[in-house]
Amino acid sequence: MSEDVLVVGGGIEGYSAALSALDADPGASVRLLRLPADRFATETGLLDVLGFEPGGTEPVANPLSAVDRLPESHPYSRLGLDTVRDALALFDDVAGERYVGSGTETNALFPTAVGEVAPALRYPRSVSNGVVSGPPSMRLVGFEGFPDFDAELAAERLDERTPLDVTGQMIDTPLSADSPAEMARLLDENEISDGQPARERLVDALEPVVDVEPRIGLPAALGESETAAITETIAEKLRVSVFEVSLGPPSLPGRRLESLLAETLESRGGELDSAGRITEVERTEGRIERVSTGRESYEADSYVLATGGAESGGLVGGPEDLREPVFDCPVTLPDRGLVDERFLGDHPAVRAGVPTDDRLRPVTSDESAVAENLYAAGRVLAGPNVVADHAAGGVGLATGYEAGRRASERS
Amino acid sequence: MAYTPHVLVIGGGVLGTAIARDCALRGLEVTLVEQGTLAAGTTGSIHGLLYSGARFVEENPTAAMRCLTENRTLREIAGHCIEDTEGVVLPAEKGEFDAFVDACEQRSIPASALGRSDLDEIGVADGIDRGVRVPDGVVDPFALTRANATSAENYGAEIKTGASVVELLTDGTDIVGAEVEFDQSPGGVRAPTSPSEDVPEETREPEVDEEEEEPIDAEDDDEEDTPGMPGTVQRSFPGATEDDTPDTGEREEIEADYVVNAAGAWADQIAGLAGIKLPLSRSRGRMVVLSGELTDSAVTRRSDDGYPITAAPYQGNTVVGPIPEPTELEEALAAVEAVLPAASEAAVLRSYTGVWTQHASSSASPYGHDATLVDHEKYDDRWGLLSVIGGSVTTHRFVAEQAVNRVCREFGIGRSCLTADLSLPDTSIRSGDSGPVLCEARSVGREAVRSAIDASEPEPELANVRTQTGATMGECQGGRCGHRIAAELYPDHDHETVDESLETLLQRRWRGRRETLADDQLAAALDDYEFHARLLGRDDERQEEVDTDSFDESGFTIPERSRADQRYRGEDSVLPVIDGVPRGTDGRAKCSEAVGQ
Repeated sequence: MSEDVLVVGGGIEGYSAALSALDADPGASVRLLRLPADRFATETGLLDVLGFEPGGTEPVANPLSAVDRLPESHPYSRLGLDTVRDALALFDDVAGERYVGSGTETNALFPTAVGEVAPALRYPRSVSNGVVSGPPSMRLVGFEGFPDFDAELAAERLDERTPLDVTGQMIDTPLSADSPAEMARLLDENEISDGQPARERLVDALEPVVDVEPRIGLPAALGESETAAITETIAEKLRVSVFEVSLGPPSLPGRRLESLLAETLESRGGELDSAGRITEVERTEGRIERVSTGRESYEADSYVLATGGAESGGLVGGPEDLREPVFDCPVTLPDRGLVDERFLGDHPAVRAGVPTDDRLRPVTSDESAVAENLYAAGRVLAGPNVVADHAAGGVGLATGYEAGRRASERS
Repeated sequence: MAYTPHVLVIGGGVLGTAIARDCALRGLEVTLVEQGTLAAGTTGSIHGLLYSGARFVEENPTAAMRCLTENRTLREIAGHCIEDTEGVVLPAEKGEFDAFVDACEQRSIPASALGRSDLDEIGVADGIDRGVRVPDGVVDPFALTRANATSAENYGAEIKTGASVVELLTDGTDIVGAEVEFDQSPGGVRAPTSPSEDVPEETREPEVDEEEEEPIDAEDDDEEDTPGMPGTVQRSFPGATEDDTPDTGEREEIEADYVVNAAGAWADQIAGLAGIKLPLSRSRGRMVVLSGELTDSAVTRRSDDGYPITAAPYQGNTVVGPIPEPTELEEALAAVEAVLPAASEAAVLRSYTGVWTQHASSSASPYGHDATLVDHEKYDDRWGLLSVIGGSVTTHRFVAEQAVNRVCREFGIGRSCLTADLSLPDTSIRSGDSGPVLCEARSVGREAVRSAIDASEPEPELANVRTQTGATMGECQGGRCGHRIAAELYPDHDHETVDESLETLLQRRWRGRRETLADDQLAAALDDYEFHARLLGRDDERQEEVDTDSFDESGFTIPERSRADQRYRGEDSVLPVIDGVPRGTDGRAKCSEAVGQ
């Protein structure tokens, strides 16, 4: 089979590249290879565009206006603000009603499972009532069986960190679910047990703990596909606003984002394959001709490398060096080892990656393109510590957007 | 006995706790002080091997026989700390094989020859045709130390952890006790201080007892971080003032009739507090933990330099070592792979370094073969202090017995030692509780974690959770379970203590983990980092309070007919209006305060 654009890797940058290629040319044939790595398991579902300036200690309120303070090498600086805005507009178009924040350039802040604060520019509707910048007090309710979210501890922290009044309470796990995924399944199916549907049973379990606070935060387990209906049922019956707090991995809001992107890609004519790793690459005269997983081979006019960083197998190796295993693109490494002395330190391996030209084509040390029809996006790129900066979503989205556009122009 | 002498034991390793237990069983009054947590020094950084003595029966038959006896004794009194894995020795040549089997037979060490089919089962590589099965085992040094300590307490001993000796009390010449400083840092006990490296030459030869110890190999623990190792955090000398010294804690003078210095790698510093020079020699070896049990026996093949590297199963993983410095890790792993091919598939989980301390005058071979009792009355004219140097987990009970015999002799007490006859209590915490699993890799549940935390009160110590339950010792090294475990400190401790304890726990695990990261382990480590930094939003360098003023707050919507609807109305839907008074972002009024008006 032959495509106009083949995207290798199914993280946010991969979907962004595929959707962008289709957006630029709706008639194009675009295929995305979702590799084995589960790229959305630790995604929060929040789209973090720039939460902190590099090394910054306070969250950034207006990420786009902070771009001119970023180093020239930062992907946002290199792509330019217009491209970042266009990429966000594409996301808004894709996400529709399922995300909140469309059109805004101001970050919102959300509670994490341990009561810290995470900034995001776009966020799922299921978490939106949890904004900690708004004043109404909130009550966090945790389930004893889900140990990632100690609601009382998180509440104490959040209460101290923010001007909000936050209370917390732990209750026995409703529905006797042994994991958030199991609870989500029971709620999606609204499974009847003892003559009572799952959603009603959840409402009954929550009823006694709803207090004066006008909103309650629950572990992100409110269904995988029926979240809106489930949330609405709770809100209506208990007359409170409801929001989810992301847990993980696997993170349900991350999974839902993946489904949203995958469904949209397919509905817009893109192809989606779950593939094994690419093991063979056929090249001629500076072009990629074909790639193969050993079982399946794929041919395209242009390729987008979107396999992620060292956390996802997009870069492999260690303890001294990293390499890019699919196309064997050169990798630049910051000069001091792969990881920092501190667990929460600024790990060089996160900054490591493939250097590119201004068109996002991987380049060799003499600045020439590895292949004229190969582009790269997202975490596989050399760049800032998008994890520490809470910028992984935005950088993935924007570089994917640009790579997809460039790739489709060529075809 | 008209008068009961009070003995102060310094050092909470397996030896110190055994000395305290022995003293208590003989009816002495005893206090033990430990600067960090129990088993946090050399004891906790061993390989985990319970020696049968077979490994060095030719070179050191005395030590071999001692090990065999103590091995059998420990199986009787502390069976719950020991896994009967047996050991396999792989002699390189036929001649060596024959000599080895002969030597074992001569000393009545049970040794059975293994053929190729046996070696297949054990996982030994093709091409190695002969081996010998010997009665080694694997011992949990934490459980053993805890058992000693608990037994000691049951017989009346007092055990104080987090208590650093800052002064030895003297009446001019005699040692009459010690002043300790309690650690006051929240969330745990201060890290142990570093032993000094520069030990002046000692002119006098102390008496060297012929009590043998054997290659201490090790299990893991990096909590304790081995004293003074390059690459580990440098700690301050006890009592020294340094910028990073934690806040001075409470001090206590403990008067004693006799002091036993069992401070291991720190023993010279303790003696130094009384102006006594105690020259020590230290040898080091690196341990590497590989994922999975590559073999069910402790397998040793002698290497060319004469120090055998052993691969032993330990709590679901395999501990390889000790690798003598300066051998490269790759080289050592290649040597292990040549014997156990499965090692090539295993991931390196972490590494740590063990230190073995000997008296400088002892003819000790590395890894702690000999134990030395130094009576400072005899050598330094200072009555009241006995230093016990060396010893291994296998022979610690015997060394303790010798030391306590000496102490009893000082007071004319003739009671015999009971430690070989009385079983040690099982203090381990078994999983299988009804609560949720916190550490999936080790199937450790909430109740087990809570029990381990309770056992470490009043100073909550997450290291105790690790040593008592095995939690955080799987592939994630706490990356996916540490926050759950730390959360169990709440609400008995506040969120700041939780934060600090979590930070300490993760940082300790990270030290062992970061050195060896490659491939899947690197990916997993970075994923764990991302989980903390991004999903949990943790960053200890960020500001505690977040100024939320200029952030978007339009996400919050009030459901129709909300109970909040009556209170939250007004021009701006997110600003609550209470009794006609808008409570906004500027007033910083908390809703609950407002509601009460």
